[in-house]
Amino acid sequence: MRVRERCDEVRQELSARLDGEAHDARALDEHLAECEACRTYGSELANVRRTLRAQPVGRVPDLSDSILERIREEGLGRRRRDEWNTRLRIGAVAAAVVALALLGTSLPWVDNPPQRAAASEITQEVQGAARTLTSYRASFSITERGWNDAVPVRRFTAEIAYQAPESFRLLVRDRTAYPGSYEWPRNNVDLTAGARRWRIEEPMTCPTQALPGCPLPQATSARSIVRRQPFDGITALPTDIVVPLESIGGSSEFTVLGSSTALGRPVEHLRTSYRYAAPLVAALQAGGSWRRFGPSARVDLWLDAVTTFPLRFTVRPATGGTPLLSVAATSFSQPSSLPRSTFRTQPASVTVDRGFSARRFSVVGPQLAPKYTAGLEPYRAGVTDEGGRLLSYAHGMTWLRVIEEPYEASQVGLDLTVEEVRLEDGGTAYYAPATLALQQSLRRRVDVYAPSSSSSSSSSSKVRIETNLPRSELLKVAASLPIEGRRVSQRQYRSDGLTFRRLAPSSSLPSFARSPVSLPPGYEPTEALLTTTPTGTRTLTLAYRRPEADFDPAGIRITQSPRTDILPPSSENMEPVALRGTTARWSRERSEVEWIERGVYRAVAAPSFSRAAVMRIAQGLR
Amino acid sequence: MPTEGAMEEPDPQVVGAARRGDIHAFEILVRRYQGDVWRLALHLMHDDSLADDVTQEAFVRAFRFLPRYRGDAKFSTWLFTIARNCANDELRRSGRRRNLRVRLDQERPRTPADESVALEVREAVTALPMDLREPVVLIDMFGASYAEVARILGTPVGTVKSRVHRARATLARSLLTQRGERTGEG
Repeated sequence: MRVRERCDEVRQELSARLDGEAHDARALDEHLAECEACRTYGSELANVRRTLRAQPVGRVPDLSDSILERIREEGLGRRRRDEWNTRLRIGAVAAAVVALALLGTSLPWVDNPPQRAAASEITQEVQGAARTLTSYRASFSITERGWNDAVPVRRFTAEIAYQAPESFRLLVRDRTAYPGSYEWPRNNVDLTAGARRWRIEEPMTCPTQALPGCPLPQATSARSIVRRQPFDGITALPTDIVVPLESIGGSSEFTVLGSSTALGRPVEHLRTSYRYAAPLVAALQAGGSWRRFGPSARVDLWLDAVTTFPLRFTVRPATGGTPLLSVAATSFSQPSSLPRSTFRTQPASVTVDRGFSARRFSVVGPQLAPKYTAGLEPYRAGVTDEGGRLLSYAHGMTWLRVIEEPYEASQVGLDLTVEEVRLEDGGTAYYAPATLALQQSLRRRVDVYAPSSSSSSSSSSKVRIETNLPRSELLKVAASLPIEGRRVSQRQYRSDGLTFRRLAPSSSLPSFARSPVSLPPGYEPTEALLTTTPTGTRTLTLAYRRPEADFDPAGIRITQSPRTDILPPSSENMEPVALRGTTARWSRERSEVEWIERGVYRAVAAPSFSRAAVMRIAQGLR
Repeated sequence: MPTEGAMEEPDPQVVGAARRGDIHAFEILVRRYQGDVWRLALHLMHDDSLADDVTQEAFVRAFRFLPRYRGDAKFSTWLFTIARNCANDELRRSGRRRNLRVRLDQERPRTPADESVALEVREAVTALPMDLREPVVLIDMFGASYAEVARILGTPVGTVKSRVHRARATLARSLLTQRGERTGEG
């Protein structure tokens, strides 16, 4: 009996040894030396294994087209983000739960299987929450590290109130125990946005590096805006802190890490980088003096599973470590409405008049109103002192505004960031995604140029639509305007003595130019612009963007100019770096590397990428 | 080609882009792995059209769940886990487990000697119960490691070890029987 047991044990090990997974090879060999049955058995197993491994591969069908077709049909691809309502949303979530249940618990990297929303469901949840939210109130506690060498930690509390669509109040109070006798500026910020007025009060202070000891007297600065345009984009309206519509709802650039709880409520833990989460993080920093973060800084956020409110978030170095910023909700509520006084403001000593006068929709609307407004209701309409006409629509936190204003033909076509889009109605529009460059006014926009009227030749009118709706919706709205947009891109134009020439995507580049061998995924060339100065100096600018992006923190830009032998300084903070056999210099604030290579100036700038990524693009120029 | 050792892993940048919903990046993954997924499905299902369905469904699910792929398993392991689950769902749904052999016999054309060996092997694999079939297919036809298979099947490594052994022992017997030989083992 004992021999038999030994054989059984040995035989399993024999099988494992064929795969290089046996435990004790010596014991095995000792047994085999004595047991012929097991030797035979072992060679049989080896035979089977060899036979299986030598199985010919039959012809395999190519299913890629049908697979991709199905993904597009199901609207899973990023390029499809369809009109969406609550019922569909519930359907989508239910489907996801079923799919998760089917996937089952055998996914070893799922922390808490199943019933957890996938990223696309979270994106939809956020969009849905933004649409239906009416009012909100919350308190946060904030811990910040590394603002100043002498002040390792600062602590704050913040109160936030929001009433749809654009009333917002942020109150930051500095609770830091500052060191020493120096009177540090208290970072108290008070921001109030009502429909007609906007006001901010913040400390007036030196740059943080100059502290302590900066001679500037302690003071508070207050600015206000009156006769404010609806959703004007000049004034900060950092609503991502309420519902992260841009940072999460506008992108799929995050990972779902798991579920946990915050404030005793179920939350989803997401991770992304600062370049995408900036709209959320910057929300609390709309005024005052705060530490800065690089685009690759790691952002963790915990969204309430029911409301999608961010209940907690942290910013850490890209490599991890102690949070540099830690923000946690201490309470939140959704009152049915907030008292009007919450958002009431007095004009400050520095006040800007934005020249907006409200009018009825029926007065402003007729030749301007889009037929399709993505389900948003008319909000405010009016005229500007400059003669522009404006209509706005809103629902919850989502908004849309249409402005008609005159434009000069010579101004068109200088913007490298716009994408020419053919609309459903056959017209042409010029689209620009939301960008970080517009830090406090995240919005997608599209410009539609009206056919030039016979009366005026040099100037004509342009309709601009701005929104925080997704790109697909924005383009539908544009297609439903009463005018059909015309193409205005000019191949060549002059301005201030410079000649600008757009190169067709297919045309060959000047001989001094190099193009990147590889770009980050999704980036495609959008523009090649050759500028010539009166003295004959040529500069080629190549721009790369992600086409059809909803949110694009910034594109990639490559600038090249021949016959250059010195590199004039362009920033105070330059660092030398080795690149392509020469010494290049790196500018952190612009995320740009510049160098001279055989008399040609070259620069690669990609503000939302890390230094390593920018250097990789630069290395790969051919 | 069933090869020794692990399957080739995709470029992390491609996976990263696909995770963020870039359908073009995902297409690269589809083209790279559809053959492997299809072969796995075929070995598990033994029906070409079911293998097609499973492959499609596996990639659609993979795209949907990519945002949750954290890279702590190899991509191929992760993808095979999904494919294997899809195959099981499909089998459960269609209730065709029992008919597989019959279908196989009808569908395979008669072939020269070396192919008939292949057919013999395939039939023998088909006859294995699913819990033995899965590990032996993954290990011997795809070169997966025991740890990878344990992940895919959600079982301990020890279970994988004993199942693949039992699978090989069963196959050894049935292949010898099919060749008209007798074995002394009971």
